[in-house]
Amino acid sequence: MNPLADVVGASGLHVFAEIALVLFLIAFGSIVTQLLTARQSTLDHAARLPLEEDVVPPTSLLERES
Amino acid sequence: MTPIDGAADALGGSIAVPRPPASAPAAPSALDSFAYDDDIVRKFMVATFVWGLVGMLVGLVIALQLVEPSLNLASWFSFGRLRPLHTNAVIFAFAGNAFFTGCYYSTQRLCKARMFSDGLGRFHFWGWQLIIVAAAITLPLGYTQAKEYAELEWPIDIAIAVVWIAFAVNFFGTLKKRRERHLYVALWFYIASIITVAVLHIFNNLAIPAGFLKSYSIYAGAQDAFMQWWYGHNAVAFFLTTPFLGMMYYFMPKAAERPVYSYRLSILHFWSLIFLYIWAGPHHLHYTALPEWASTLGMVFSVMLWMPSWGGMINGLLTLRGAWQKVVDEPVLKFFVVAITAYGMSTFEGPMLSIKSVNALAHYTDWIIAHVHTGTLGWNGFMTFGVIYWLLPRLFQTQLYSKKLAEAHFWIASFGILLYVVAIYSAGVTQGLMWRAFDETGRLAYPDFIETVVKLLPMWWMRAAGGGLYIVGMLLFGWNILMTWRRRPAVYDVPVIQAAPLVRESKTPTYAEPRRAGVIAHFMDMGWHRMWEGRWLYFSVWVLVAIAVASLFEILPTFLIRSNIPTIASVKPYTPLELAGRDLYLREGCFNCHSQMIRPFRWETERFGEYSKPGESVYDHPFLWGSRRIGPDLAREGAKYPDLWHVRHMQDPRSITAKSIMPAYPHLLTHDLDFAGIQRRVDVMAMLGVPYGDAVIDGNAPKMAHAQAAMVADTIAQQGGPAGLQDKEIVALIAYLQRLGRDATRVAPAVASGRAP
Repeated sequence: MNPLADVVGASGLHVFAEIALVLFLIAFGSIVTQLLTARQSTLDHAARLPLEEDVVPPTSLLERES
Repeated sequence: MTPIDGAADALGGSIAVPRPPASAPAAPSALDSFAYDDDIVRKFMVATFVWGLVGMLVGLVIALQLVEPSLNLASWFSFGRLRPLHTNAVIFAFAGNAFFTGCYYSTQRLCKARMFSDGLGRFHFWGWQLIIVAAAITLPLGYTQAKEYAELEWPIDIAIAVVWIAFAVNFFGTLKKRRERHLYVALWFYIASIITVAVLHIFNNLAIPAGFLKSYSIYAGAQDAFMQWWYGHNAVAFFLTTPFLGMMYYFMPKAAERPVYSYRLSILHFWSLIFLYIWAGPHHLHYTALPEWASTLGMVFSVMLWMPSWGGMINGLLTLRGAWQKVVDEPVLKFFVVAITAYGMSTFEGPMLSIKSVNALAHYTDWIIAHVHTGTLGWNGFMTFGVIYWLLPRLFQTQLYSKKLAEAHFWIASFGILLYVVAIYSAGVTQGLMWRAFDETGRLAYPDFIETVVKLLPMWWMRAAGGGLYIVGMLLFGWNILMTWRRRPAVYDVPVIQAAPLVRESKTPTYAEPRRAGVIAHFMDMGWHRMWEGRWLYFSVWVLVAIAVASLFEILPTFLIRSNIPTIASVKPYTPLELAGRDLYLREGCFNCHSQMIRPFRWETERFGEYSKPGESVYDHPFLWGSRRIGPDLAREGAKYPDLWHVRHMQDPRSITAKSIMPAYPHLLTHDLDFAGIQRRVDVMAMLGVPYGDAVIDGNAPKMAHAQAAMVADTIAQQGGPAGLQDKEIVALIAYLQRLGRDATRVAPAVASGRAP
């Protein structure tokens, strides 16, 4: 005896869950694709940010860079 | 070798030199000079310790009250009122202040900028502390919305929203004025936390005031349950998980002196986590009167959540690759390793508990309490301790007072956690198995609920001992903070930082590679994630979209499709006196121990009666299904016992059930009921759509309440109880209890006769 399940089963609500899953898979796939094609040097630069934050580039270096 | 690499080598390779973005070379003359605001970090750090200690002490008190009910010393000092104080204090005061400590420290450094506004920082700090004080006063006094982790009443809720917005403005303002192009992954987690907590807080707390510290949720029954656990689960996600993951991604590399193991994994971790987490709330409501589809959806997403969670754990732990030897000597790393391991255990257990068959055993039992405490004591507590031990020498500009003391703290607290969770896991499984046990004749093996409670007492004592050890660790922690602070310099040094200002970003991604041919290659070359990472507004909008899509897909069907909540014609609104009694039930925090939701299992229906239907609670603002059963379920309590039984039970529970651990409520027999205030409450209920009709809302509510109270009082007197209770609170509570669960099942006329027509 579970009238609620019957009512809900007939109302087509499962489409909400399916759309959600598709949305997630699209977003997930896109991000994975971007990640797999990202340049390692870019990621390395980002990963080192916490270790570099207090260091100010020496003036001489910046001059040489420019 | 680039000139920068060469310089790094010249410096012995020990100092990392940042690479200026290729598209933005800064002239040396253009360097900005500024200083970080560490004073605000110090403030939040001290508040973290103070409130952590208070919250944990309250936790110890309520743990002891469960084993020794005489410790319920007064109405304001009873389990039902203190339990929300414990949860609010450790979540919002301890973990909240810990998050703010880590966030203010790391955001400034990752952005190479001082916080946007010192004033907003102070407003945030003092505002948050005042909110905590307000909670500490109002919760013991019984002012509560009765929604787990959202108990605070509407004026305080508004204050929270205002202070949170101030924090958000300060945070996003700092991102806007930053001098580092890339937003490091820790900042993404902070962004997600700040945005999502605001959304959760505002929508779950929508309520209509019925007085200065009284309100009714705009949602009712199943919808309220859905909103509450959308909020409750995501409060765990976005207040206790994502902020601490942000801190992990910043402080773990700092302490290990090496970058995070995989930045790719961190990106995947982030997006998967925030997208999946928001769906998982309904797993708190399996087998309740929630629609089946919502429950299943919550379960599926919860199981999927395991993967990103472990991705984060692996990323955190592997950051120590090649540096595990440091863990031996460094208490900070010890705390981090255990914290991340606890995160891993909790996030494995969470998806497991969301599987319906497992949940059927664990729900309402202490297993959930054990699960929560593995996360909070291990993950949140130890992350906080690690971060603060790392910060102490830097913020107080001196050596840590005692590394040995920190080591002692680590081992004592670790042992405390172990003792706590082993005891409570055992208690939870014992409880679940005893509830569902049948004997060989097909009858409940433990028909008296009290049998299942008494069995747990030794484990609850052990839990109190474990919690006590954790607090001993906190005291050592406090002593270390105090003594380190005493060794601080007379005046703090304020280092001047120099960094190049951020040059306006070009339309093309900074690090894009040469374009390739083809649609897929073009998509890969777009570099859109790189662009988001550098643009805080885009990034924040996409975070909002991710959580909003998930929330709307779950919530809208529940609210818009009427058939989701079938109504039951015989279910009527509470009478004015019953409504007043229900408010007393909320005030005393009865919902902390008693559920009002019988699941469709034979072991539940045999014990408590017919299983609960969603249509039964359509007038319940808020819903009171509960999340834990320290006492029996009350969904079918109406007419089970005479009115006098309830009087005696409230006066002294142990006079009815010898080993009961319920607090006594003698004040209900002496306090006058506020009849005058009933009309306003009824009017608000009517405003929310409860069909009271003109007879009740037209100023008649107090009269009706008086009439019903007189009937209840007469019945009590006739049954041999005390006379003259018609003006006392006890009659309202009894009227409410005697009404519970009777409308839908149409139980024959009650043993108790005090019923309104």
